[in-house]
Amino acid sequence: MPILTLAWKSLLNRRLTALLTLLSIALSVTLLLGVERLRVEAHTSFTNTLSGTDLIIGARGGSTQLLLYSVFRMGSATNNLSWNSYREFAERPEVAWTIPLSLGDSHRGYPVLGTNLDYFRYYRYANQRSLELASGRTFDGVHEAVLGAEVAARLGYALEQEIIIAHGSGAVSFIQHDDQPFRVVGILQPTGTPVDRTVHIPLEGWEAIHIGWIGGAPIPGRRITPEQALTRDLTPKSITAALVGLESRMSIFRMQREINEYRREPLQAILPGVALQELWSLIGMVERVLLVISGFVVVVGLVGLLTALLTGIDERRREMAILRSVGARPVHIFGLIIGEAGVLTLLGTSLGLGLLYLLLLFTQPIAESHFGLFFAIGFPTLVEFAILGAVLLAGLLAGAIPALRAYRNSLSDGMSVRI
Amino acid sequence: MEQPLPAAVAIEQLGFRWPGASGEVLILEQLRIERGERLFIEGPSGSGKSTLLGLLAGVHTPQRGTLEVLGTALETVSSAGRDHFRAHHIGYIFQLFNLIPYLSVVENVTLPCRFSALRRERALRRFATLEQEALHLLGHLDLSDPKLLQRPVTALSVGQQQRVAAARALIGSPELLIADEPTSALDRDRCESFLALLFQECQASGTTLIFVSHDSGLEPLFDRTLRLAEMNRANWRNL
Ligand SMILES: Nc1ncnc2c1ncn2[C@@H]1O[C@H](COP(=O)(O)OP(=O)(O)OP(=O)(O)O)[C@@H](O)[C@H]1O
Ligand SMILES: [Mg+2]
Repeated sequence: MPILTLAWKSLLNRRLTALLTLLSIALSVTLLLGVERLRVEAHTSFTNTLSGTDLIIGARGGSTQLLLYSVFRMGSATNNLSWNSYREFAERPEVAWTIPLSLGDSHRGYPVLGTNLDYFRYYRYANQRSLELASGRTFDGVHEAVLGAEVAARLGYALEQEIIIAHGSGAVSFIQHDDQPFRVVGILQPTGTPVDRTVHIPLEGWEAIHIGWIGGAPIPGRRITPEQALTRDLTPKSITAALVGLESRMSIFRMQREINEYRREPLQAILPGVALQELWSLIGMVERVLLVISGFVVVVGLVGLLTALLTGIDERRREMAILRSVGARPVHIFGLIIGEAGVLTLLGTSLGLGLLYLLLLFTQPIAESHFGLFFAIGFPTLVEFAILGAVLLAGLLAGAIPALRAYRNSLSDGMSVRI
Repeated sequence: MEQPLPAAVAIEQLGFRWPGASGEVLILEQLRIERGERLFIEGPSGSGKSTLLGLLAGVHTPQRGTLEVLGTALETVSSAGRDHFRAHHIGYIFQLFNLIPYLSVVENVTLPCRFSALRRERALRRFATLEQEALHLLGHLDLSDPKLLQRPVTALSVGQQQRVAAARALIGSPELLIADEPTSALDRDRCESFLALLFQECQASGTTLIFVSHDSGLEPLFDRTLRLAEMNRANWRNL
């Protein structure tokens, strides 16, 4: 114990070096913990995008592609799923619910999704949470829209806002469905999922704006008014994909096989949990590389500690001799140096943890609104404690090198003082 | 009837060789230093003065012979045991740079009490706190100016530093005080006043003083002089 107070005072005496060393450890620890948090949070938020859905049905093609456009609303489908096939599966007794999805259009860069009221009833994300309205109501009329939280916030839309849907998914689209504007009737609560970035309209509305369109372009001169559209049969001919919930999870694989082997139309069904996991293993690579890099940054921080202590050792031979003369044993000398390393790493990691929380406090709102990542400012996790422990241990190990050197010096020097 | 106290130092047929050296640097047939004695050791450079002090302080052990300090046969004691022994019973003053730069004057003085419960206990017998004892000793050594005591030790003059070192060597009344040329950096006046203070304190606590110096002019102030060049039977000149 007396040796630790000596270590502390010795560090105070070399404040500047000590502070710089401490800071480099702290920053590297913040980086490492931050990347770890980001990794975990990104993973959870990723796997949280969809929950409770047993199968996703779409036209046959790549399974990742189906996942990307049906869940993340990215990319586009090459083929559709006919309404009749969809209804056939939707009416099967083992099916509890379905959500039809029509995609491909956009509003100022945000994807527009045609669906029905079952979307608001059955869609689940993040551990069975359902969608909730922040204001207004779900759509009822054909030309009504419900906005995701981010769309409303970013574009500054409130209820009653009229919006025009653009054909295709580009941010700047030249072909607008400007003959049939939609009226915003509801705005959803933020979810931290792609739902926030989606403009929801009823399937009938989707059908209405595409009346008279062939192959992605309007037939010239055949524009119709909303009132005219309402007189038509607005039952869709096809949709892009459908989310399916089953009565029992036992029937997932049988159902999947049946869909994949469906005769009348080439279809595929994917298990969203598995597909999400597969996709993550691709994206997650980046995250792991980042973690390894931050690990190296911590090593650099500790090498700084090693250098700071090691360069001092030979200049401190006299100090060691004085300590020996008042009765310090070589183990005390060892303890003094490793104590300094310990104090520096302990303070460094604590400061690093503190900086992390400070950073979280400031970036939390931005991360949530811009990236849908929610960082809970809670107690450090077990993994984070393990990381802190490992850094502390590594700091002591790094400190053992100069400590051992000082120990050897003091054994050979004894009290003969060298200048 | 009380047992007489063992001698401060009793050496018989001692031989010491540095590890890796070709021969012994120090051979002493017999040396006895009494309790309370003030011994002056002189000798040319390389004659083994510092080596002898290192042996007495238990930093090194002789390869042969007996080395009894305060009744303890140091050659039989483990190195940790010798470190304890030094902490408890020996005060040591170096030629120069005696102080730990990152400790205050008072902290430097009380340093031995961190390593020896015995000396802490003895120091606390006189005063309630170690700081008071340190201030008392410093006062006796003419260092009582509070402004001076606030200064970092590196800002003290050499003479002041040596007196702080003396106070440190004296705290907790160790039986043996060893000083290796502590006055070589002081001018004549300062040297003599330093010695006067040192003697006074040693006498007050019954401490045996072993003092090494090149300066034979100081000889008359001591009880006895040991000429190491003559006593040392080793061929130290040719090492
Ligand atoms: N740590 C050491 N390792 C090996 N040899 C040493 C060591 N210290 C001293 N010596 C050798 O031991 C011999 C005696 O040295 P010592 O320091 O005892 O002399 P000294 O009488 O104190 O001289 P000075 O008056 O210059 O201080 C010298 O030859 C020296 O080189
Ligand atoms: Mg010497």
